Amino acid sequence: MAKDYTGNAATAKRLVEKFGRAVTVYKRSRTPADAGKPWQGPTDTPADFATFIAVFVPAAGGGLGKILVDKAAELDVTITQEVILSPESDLTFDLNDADSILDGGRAYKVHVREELKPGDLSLLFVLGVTG
Amino acid sequence: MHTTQQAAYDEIIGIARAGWLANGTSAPFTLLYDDVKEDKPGVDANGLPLTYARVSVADIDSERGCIAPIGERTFEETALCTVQIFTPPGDGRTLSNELLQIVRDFFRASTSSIIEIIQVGPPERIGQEGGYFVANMPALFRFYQEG
Repeated sequence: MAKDYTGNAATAKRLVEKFGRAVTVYKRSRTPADAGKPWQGPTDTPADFATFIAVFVPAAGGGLGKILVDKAAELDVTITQEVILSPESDLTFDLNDADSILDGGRAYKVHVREELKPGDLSLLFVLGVTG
Repeated sequence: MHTTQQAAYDEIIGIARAGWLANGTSAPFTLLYDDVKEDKPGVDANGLPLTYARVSVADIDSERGCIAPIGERTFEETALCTVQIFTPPGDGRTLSNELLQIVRDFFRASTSSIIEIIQVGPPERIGQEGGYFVANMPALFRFYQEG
């Protein structure tokens, strides 16, 4: 029988929300501003956004952090922060779609994402950002 | 004819888009654009990733083309448009080759009053990358700016 990760997810959520701070996570619109020229980008109105509690850590270290740094390097991007979130904080928002984060008055661009999902349940998301 | 960088980009990407969406396969495959956030297509009934392409433009060269006062000079701008084709692996490059041919054909057949396509191809076969077989079709073009 597959392991039930419900308890682990709850622990991850509790710890992230204990040590983090509130941010707004945005998914950019996929609707082109000009339907005839979709290459010029989408409308300014975001497709979705949600409030999460996030823990910010420097982009370094091992494990998921190192994976993110390496992944960003393949895109010629040097991420400055890694942002840890619990998907359990808002199950209606898919963190795979996260494009940017507003932390107080400071905006961060999401470049790379990693998900800790050993079973059916997602335990943690780590986003590699610049900003 | 003089033009702007944005107008030249719009022209070449517009050619790529029109050609891709009118391609000879039964249904148009998704086309993505450089620096535009869009969702990649999902998977087909066999669990293989769906075909898509991405078009991008990069500047190659900028050369003054005549002697004239500032503001009346002509600059010849050369740029490269690349259509990257992502197809499911395992069919002996059949679909990839078909789509490369389609892209090559529509670039070669295109006409424009503001850009000149001066070279199409050769295709670059990148090979297996992630869940896809990847091949690129470059198209070199030029346009003129006043400056």
